[in-house]
Amino acid sequence: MPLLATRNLTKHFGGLSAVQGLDLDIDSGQMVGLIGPNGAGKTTVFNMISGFLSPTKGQILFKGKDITGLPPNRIAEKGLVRTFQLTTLFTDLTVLQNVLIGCHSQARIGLWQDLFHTASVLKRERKVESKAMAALEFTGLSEFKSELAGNLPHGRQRSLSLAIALAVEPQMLLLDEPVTGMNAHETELFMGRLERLKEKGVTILLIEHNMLAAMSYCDRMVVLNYGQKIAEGAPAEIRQNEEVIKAYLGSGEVH
Amino acid sequence: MELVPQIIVNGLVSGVVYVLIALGITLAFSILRVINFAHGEFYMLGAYIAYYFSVELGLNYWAAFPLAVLAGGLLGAAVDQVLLRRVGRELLKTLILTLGLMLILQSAATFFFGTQEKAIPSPISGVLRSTYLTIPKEKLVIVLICIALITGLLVLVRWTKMGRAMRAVTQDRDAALIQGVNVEGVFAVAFAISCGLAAAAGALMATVLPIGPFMGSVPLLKGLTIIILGGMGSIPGAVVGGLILGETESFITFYANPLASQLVFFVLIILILFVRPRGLFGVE
Amino acid sequence: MLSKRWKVILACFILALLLILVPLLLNDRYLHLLIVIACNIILALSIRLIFLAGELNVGHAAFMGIGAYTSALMATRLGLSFWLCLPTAAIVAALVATVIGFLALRAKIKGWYFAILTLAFAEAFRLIVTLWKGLTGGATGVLDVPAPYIHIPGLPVVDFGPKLNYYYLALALVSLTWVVMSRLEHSRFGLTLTAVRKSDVLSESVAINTIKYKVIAFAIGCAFAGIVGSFLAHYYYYVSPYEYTLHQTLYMLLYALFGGIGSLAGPVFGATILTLLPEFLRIAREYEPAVFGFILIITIWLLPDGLVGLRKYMNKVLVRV
Repeated sequence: MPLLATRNLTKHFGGLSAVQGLDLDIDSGQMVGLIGPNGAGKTTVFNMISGFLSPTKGQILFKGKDITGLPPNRIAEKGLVRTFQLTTLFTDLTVLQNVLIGCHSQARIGLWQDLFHTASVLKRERKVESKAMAALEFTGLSEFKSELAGNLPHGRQRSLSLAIALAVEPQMLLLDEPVTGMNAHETELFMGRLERLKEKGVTILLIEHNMLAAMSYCDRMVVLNYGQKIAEGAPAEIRQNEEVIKAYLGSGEVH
Repeated sequence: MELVPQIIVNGLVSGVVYVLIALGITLAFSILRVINFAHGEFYMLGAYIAYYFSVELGLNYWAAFPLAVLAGGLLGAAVDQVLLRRVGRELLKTLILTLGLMLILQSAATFFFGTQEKAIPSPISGVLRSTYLTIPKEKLVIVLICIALITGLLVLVRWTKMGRAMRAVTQDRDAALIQGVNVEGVFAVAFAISCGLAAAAGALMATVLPIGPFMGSVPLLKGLTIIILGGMGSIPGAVVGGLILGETESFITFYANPLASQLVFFVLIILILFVRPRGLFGVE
Repeated sequence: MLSKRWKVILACFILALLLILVPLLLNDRYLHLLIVIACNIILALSIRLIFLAGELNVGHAAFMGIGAYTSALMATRLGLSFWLCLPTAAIVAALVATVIGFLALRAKIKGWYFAILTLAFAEAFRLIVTLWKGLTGGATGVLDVPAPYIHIPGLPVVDFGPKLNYYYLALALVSLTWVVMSRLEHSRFGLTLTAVRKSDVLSESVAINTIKYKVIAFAIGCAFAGIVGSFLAHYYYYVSPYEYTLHQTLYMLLYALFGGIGSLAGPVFGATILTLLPEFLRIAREYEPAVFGFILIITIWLLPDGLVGLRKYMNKVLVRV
């Protein structure tokens, strides 16, 4: 059974059809790349899967259960976490605080206990803080824990987005153009981390504009154009696929 | 049943005045992205200035009216350039500033004119009668002036250079700036027009309703209701919304009582927020 | 020399002593002033809590009214003791807030639209109360609301004729409010609330139920407004629809913003100074609005962050010197 599946996923905005009849199957433990020219509908697909947008038609299944139409926080709770194309952080909080907030759902502290600051609360807080530090270490940010998130350079901010997502201990990550704006070295480090996550069993679905990165690291690719799936398969096949080449050339982008 | 045409006409008369008020609010919102909490006080100011010139100084009402509108406009421009500009026209800060302005204007009116209600005698006497309708000529003139002002505004926005500049600023401030539009000038003019329209409405209603320092609060709330109904920043929304409100109010006041009609507005707002928050013509 | 922690404790102790002992020397006029300040502080702090959740409650005064009417009606119609009416008033206000907040936020009504909703609700409340004469006494309101009294068998009856007793009650309520607000803010709940305010999208994506947090903050904030309403109903001995208006809410927002909403101390200072100022300037009642108006404008003009921002400003100036 695929970890994430969509059936006939469709989104219309007024007269415009952004996504049409998308069938997707992502098996557990894979890293899949969702690619396509600008405006192909990739972020819209992410928005629907993560609950920020409700589909016009179709179904989304996670771990076999229907999650279509659930609010985003419920979907994240189930282990499906996304990041955003435009860097979204709590800019005037510290790096550590950013991740701590993500650990919230794991902390499980009731309101009354929180108010009275009991010893068990303190113990749980310490546990949560060590989890947050682990996420920061993994993404190479532990030395910046007291920096304001907004002061970090762009590449580290993207890494912070990943750390925040990891705080929720996801089974599957939806990453929207995670390495955009990073230089070659940062990209390599980042993708290396994704590989390590994959080894730990986290499934990853990646929207990526950087074809080279996507091709080198992904097990499989799904190509969208004008909201429809035009190709799917291993990177080597996709590279040769005529439809795909036409789609990218047609939109003026050459890789 | 025979009274229905009269109720409709009464609703039309109050409706067009509401449109004027609402247009002022929506103009300020769409171009400057601010809400002027003292909008009702510009309405009140228009009424008092018209009163002062026509009753205390003895001028002809038809001379006092444009003076009131002008005064409102000039004060509006001053408020924008001195106060709003200073806080970058941020919505929250503007709310607080205009709140302060509202309090000051109300106190000023109390200081200069006292709390006793004033009135302007009808500049036009006489009544038009038909089988079903009785319209005081004065109310007819009010309707005509309102229509003229509304049309004037529409002409300004669609066909003049300033109107084009306003539309450019509404769409994208930075782009307008780059294209050489005098954005500050547009803000000042737009806010001046917004306040001028409020003053006009007040000056017109001053001939029909009693004038008091706090007469602006209810029009402000009505104006906001209309904007929510019609859609923030939408001119057709303000027009349609104003007329709908005028008519609804007329009917409910007739069949129930004024408090009930106010209650209906607020229930209406609540419903709109749940069903179609952007209003009839709103875009966001 | 004492460590910082002990300095703070000592300061608090001295403050507590002053607050408890000094009023014994004051006459009724000053006691009344202190009571009003206490109520305004609670109102400012509670509206601030809702603000911390990212929402603006333009109908805060109406929740004060809900508390007031609940308490007044329970006391006059059902003859219940004030000590039962007060918590009930808080609970009723909280329940109404929960229902409205939940329905609205679930329908994605937030930010400015939520503010407008609270305004519409508040006005509708005022009008319904005025129209529903049978239940609420209409425009006249509810009269002869009884004063509280404490009767513990074996001890003398403490009745609330003297203002001094009302003062101590008000002091207790303010202290309770401060403690609750402080605990909420400096806890995990507070951090999460801040996250929800700063970005509900990001919060949702990390499994935070933003609606739940906003509703809780809204309910607690309104509960405290209800508490003030109930207290004042039994202090002035009457309630009427003209007491709980938009004008009042604007003043509450003023108290909070003037002092600076960045910290807990801000609303306390704001409420205190703005309540005292008109008194000490000996301004006639009619011109109080103008004074407020000028204060508002000058504050925003000079200090965008409120009074607490004054400290930041002073630091900047001092550093340069």
